[in-house]
Amino acid sequence: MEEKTYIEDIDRSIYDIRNENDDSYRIEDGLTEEIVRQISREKNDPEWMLQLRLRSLASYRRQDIPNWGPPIDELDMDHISTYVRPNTHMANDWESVPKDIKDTFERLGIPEAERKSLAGVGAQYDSELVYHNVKKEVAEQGVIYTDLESAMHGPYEEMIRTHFMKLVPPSDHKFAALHGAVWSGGSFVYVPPHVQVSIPLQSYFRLNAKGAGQFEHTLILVDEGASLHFIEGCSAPKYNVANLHAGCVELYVGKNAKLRYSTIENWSKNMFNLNTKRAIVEEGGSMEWVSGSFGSHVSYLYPSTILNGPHADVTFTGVTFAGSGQNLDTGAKVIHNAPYTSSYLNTRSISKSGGISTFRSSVSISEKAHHSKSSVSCQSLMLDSESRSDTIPAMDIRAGEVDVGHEATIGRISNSEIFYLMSRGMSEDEAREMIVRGFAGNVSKELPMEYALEMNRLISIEMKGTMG
Amino acid sequence: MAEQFFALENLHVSAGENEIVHGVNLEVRPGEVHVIMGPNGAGKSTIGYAIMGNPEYTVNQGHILFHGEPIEELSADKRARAGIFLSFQNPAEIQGLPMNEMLHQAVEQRRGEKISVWNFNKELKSVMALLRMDTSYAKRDLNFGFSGGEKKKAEIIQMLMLKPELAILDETDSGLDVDAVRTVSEGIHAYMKDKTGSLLIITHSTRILESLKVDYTHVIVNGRLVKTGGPELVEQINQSGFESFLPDQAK
Amino acid sequence: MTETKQVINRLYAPTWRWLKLNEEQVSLPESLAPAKVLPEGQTTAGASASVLYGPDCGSGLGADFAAYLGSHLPSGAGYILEPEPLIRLSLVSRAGQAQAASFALSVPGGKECTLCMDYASEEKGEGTLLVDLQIRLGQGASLHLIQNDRLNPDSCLYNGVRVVCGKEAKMDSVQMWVGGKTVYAGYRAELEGDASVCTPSVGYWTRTGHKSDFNYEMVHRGKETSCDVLFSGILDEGAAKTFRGVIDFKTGSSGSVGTENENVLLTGDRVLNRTIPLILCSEEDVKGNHGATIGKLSGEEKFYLSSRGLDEASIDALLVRARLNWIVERMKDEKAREQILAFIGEMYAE
Repeated sequence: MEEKTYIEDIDRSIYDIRNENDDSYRIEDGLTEEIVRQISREKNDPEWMLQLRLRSLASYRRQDIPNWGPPIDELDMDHISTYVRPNTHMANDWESVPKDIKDTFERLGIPEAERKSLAGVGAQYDSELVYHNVKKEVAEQGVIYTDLESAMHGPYEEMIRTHFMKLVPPSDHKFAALHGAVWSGGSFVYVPPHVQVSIPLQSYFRLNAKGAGQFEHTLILVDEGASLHFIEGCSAPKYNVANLHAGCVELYVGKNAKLRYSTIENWSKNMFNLNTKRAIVEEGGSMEWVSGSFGSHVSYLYPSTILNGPHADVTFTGVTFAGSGQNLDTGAKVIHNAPYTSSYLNTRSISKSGGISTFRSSVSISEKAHHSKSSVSCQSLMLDSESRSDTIPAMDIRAGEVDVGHEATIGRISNSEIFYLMSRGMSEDEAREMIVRGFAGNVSKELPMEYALEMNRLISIEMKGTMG
Repeated sequence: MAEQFFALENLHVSAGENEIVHGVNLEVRPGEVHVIMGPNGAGKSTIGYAIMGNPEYTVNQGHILFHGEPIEELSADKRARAGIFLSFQNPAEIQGLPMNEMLHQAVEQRRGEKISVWNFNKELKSVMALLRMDTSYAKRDLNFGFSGGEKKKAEIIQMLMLKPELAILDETDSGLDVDAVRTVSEGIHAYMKDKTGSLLIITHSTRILESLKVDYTHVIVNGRLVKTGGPELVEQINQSGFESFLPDQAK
Repeated sequence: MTETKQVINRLYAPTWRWLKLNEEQVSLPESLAPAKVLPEGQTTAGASASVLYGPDCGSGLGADFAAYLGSHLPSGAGYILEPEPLIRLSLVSRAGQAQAASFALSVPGGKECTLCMDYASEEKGEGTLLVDLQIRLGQGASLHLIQNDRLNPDSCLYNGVRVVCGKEAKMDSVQMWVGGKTVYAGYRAELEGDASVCTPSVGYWTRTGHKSDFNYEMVHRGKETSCDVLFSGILDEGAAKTFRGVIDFKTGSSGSVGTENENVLLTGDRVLNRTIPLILCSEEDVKGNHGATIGKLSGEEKFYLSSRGLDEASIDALLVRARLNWIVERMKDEKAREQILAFIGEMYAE
């Protein structure tokens, strides 16, 4: 009841403004300053956060939509405001959730209780209990693991203020700016010096945040000598009628600290996934990305890492599967900004049934980064001729004393591999599926068991062509 | 006392932070054939690299003495020009650099005199014939695309052209078929023929030694010299392996 | 001299704007003189490629550049070459001038040709040379192209090559971009005919304060076409180089294979080295791969040569020459090989 009134309020306010200032007030995408202020008020933002939102809005209006990647003209930019209202899961009953989404839950074996939550139809599920137990266990180690919004009002406000959108500033690109203006929900994790967090933490908050986690912000700080494994997402498709996801992840890896960030992204096939993830690594620190991209209609996803201190290193292991109707532009960026740093990128991509997969990367080695090493290996598998696979890697090297290697291959499944498996009794389809699973092994072997299994199940579904 | 030809004096060698060779002593006289044997990973090749001056290895204690002078501080090329040669287990492949071009320059520097292209090629041809290596290899890029056997032969050819005083052969017979081993042995014989060259053969198998008159055998285990003996030691190892040389707790 | 702003070497598929790799902005001269081409008395066309071949004749330098040449090429600067077994051309660049020449060569089916092109400077001093080469290869025809840049170190060179291959045609080229201060080299191969092949090898030496900008596009349209692109070069301290490479497998190019390799030797501590090797693919049954290695001389190579008694200076000289020699070795014409090796030798002596 309250929800409905709220929506009405916003609607009315748009009309009000339009009527009052027809000539002088240009309504940009329906996203007005008043809406942003309203969001800020709703969340009880401290003043600095309101200012950040407003600055982001100004930046959003100034910037252009990228002209170099998959087209996003289907994204209704004129009504962006409709996406940002806090309770935007407009599919507020189970009946209106599309059948194929429900089918997928069934096939992935998602428990009944979780399905509604994943479909954004409310009702928390049992993992609330799990979350509290995890939180208690790591709290004993001094780890802060909480939701970002409430953390802003506590003793961590200052810590958040000095880090929030400093790594990904609103000026970075149009959707970072949008995020800055309307972000909502997300996790905040702080690991104190030398604490080795024994169990992986998960982005619990996404699943239960209002607005189905479309503009969530993840902020993780791993202090000197500490280590953490954080897992984001799960294989179940997240459905939302409002089809934009412009999230942001900022990771600060301190001196000699270590952070592993694992993701399986499987946004539903109507989604535009314009996510921005970035890590900055200090001296001796180590960053590991493990990333599986399966869903969404269009993705722009390039986890970036800035190696900011000597001997910092990053490893990126990723797999992208573009099926029918998908245009996934993914990759990674690394900036070597200090000497003796190293980066290792290992990505695989699969295109099937008209899917378009683009691997886009950049490795930049600044003048200061002498004695740096970088090795990039990207392999692409084409499963038919309706699909596309493009590789667009860039290297910009400004120091002489470096060791850089890059290789890329593209091709199809070899007939001899299929024949071999068939000679062991596998049907041709089974053989292809096994080979593709093996191909994606670079990521699955880095994931905890239950995620690897889920990922394999996802591949299986994709290969059978019954998703989307 | 006659000037000492070549000796290792309490040699300790590390690669990075790990010490691999712990205090090895041995002495070689002109014209002698020494064999360094030991199980895999014993540190034998490390000794070879250290003598040749591979910058990846450091001598943290002890000395390498050549003609009575310590050479640990000298760069590899100075040691080579002084008369030390190392036949590599896995020689580097260098595209765009023909073997004859490199060798011509190296031989001129070793002998300290200019050699006409014609004379050089003539000499190279006869050495290649001895090793039964097709002369077309001379023009080919150094080791590039050579098979394992061809690489080893190319190393021996270079050795015969450079005529070192001390030649260290590192696992020269590994990966070679029967015929290649025979050919390489002939090459080694040719080197020993003038009686002034000395050989330090690093190996863990004994095939290459079958046709050589070995003077001393040194057994290296875990970076230490555990036994020095005569040629009979080779036969003993042939029969019963390195078991008897391993420290008690390893058995 | 008035100039006109142009965009050249446009990246086939644009990427992030902040990388500034999507294109190159240059100022081209408003007026051009015909370049001096030897031997004299060649057949001139009085027209440029775009007139001869229609508007779609961009070399790797781009369609804009082709249009520019179309409107700016002076009369007497367009040549039609006869497909002889060996064609040897010398272009002599004069200081203080911007000179251009456009060449068209059509090799009929089954014929084999070698075309050696040498660019040299008449004297010291800045000169600009623009060269465009349009090649059509008939069925089973083959061309071995050698282009040697021996221009003086104040010169600027724009070199475009476009080849359209018929069925089973073979295009093999060796280009040495070692002279000049600024070199823009574009190359576009349209592998239209089934089983056609293009194998460009490029050696370059970009010295301190000099700049190289390459755009090499291999477009696979026919079935079972193949390409093998090889770049081996040296960047000295303070050099700037951009390499854009594309292998594009269009739908229908089944059975095709595309390979590209880049090897960059850095001899200094500060350099601008940008590489963006693209592979675009909309055909399942193909094999594409590329590799790049960038860095200084390997410790392993240096130690090996050192153990043969060569001192550091000798090793550096040998290994640097080896990088270029690797490409020069692929030239099938001895005179061209000798000329460029002598030029490199002189460069090294400085």
